[in-house]
Amino acid sequence: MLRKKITLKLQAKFLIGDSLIILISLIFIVFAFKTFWFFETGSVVQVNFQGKTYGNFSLFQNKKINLIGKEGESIIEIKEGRARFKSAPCKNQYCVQQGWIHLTGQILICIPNEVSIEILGKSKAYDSLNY
Amino acid sequence: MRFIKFFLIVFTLCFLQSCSQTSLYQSKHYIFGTVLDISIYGESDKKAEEATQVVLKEFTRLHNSLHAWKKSDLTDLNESIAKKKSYRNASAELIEIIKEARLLEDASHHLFNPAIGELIDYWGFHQDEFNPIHPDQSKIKVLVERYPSLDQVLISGSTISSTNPHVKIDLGGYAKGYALDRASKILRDHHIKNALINIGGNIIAIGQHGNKPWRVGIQDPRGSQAIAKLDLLDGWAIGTSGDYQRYFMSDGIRYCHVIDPFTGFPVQGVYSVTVLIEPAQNAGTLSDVLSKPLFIGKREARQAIAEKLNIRHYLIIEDKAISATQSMADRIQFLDVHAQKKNHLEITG
Repeated sequence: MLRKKITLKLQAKFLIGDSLIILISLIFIVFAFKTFWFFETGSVVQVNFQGKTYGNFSLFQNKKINLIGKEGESIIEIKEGRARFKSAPCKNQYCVQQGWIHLTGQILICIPNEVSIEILGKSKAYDSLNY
Repeated sequence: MRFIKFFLIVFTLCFLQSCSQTSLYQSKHYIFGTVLDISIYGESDKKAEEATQVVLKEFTRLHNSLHAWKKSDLTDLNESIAKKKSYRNASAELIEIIKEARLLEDASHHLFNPAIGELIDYWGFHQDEFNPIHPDQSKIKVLVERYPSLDQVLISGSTISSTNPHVKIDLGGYAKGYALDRASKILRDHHIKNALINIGGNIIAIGQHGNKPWRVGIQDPRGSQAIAKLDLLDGWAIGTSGDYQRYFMSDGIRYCHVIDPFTGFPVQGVYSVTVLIEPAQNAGTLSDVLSKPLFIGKREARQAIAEKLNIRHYLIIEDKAISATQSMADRIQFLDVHAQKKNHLEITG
């Protein structure tokens, strides 16, 4: 009789030790989320159009993005983990000539048509580029 | 139940804390014929956005006052000079800029010369998008031998005139840096403690990025990525002149926008010159201006130029050669090991 009572008590009572275990587990979960849950380095390209983020696109797809800006049509191509300006309406064509980019932090800018593409990743090597 | 409530609170706080950690506001605007990138750390988006808008307004004002070929106060002044007339009611700011630029022109022994607008125009760089030209030696000789210099500009009160009608002021190597100083002042006046401002590649740092300094990459002049990186501490500025920024190819020769005032031709053989400027009221301006004399000057004169202009940290990338001062080499970290091995880093000064 007495024994049964104790067991019941143990099942029902929530001890400080239990709370500590749960607390530590939760902290571990939060820590794990923050540490391990991020995009694979250089897996996303961010397209900026006319000063605003147009969208983030996975590099692991074949896609063409057509943007009509002030100068005309810019075509961005995503293929096999890389991105580039396939064509641009400007005269100098710097952005097209620079070719493909795939490393985190790489950026191509088309000033006349106000389009830029930048490879995003968690471990960005730097905050801004001096050019 | 008490415990469960307690857990929920702790759990939420953990996530909130992880949100606040990434409070980085970033904006990108196309202005001044280039790109303005502002990163602000540790402020509310609202406050950061407000300050950014003030910076943008200021840039529009500078665009209208200092543009070298679209109608501006500066083009009006150039028109007056060409007509041998006095330009009246010049703004105190424009006068201050001309005086400051003149000091830098003299100190650089005219390697930095903002009066050679006629030459820059001849090469076709006074357009947003330019066409390749076939240079005419005799025409260039004529333009060089007009010897324009800011020394010929006379300022009396708010009136500006010039003894040489061929002075055509182009602040191409000055205005972006000046704008950087203005932007930095505006953000500091808005009590923003941590920001990184990038105007067309020239960068100035305020505070730092969380518990780390702001980190900037230096563009590889022949690649599409950074060749090196360095920490940009509070108040420091960095600027690069490169032959890859504005250029055209004609008969297989690269003609870049940096023109030697003594030959009248674009500089050849130098890929890029990067200068790192210590905190100063005009650090942004200096980061724009001081790369030019090193870019244009002769190889053997560089050390003397750097000494004269007090440039302590610089990096020069040329065909098969990378050179830097010791203090610059100590600060930068090359990203591509191959680049470092292939090109012997030569320590100068």
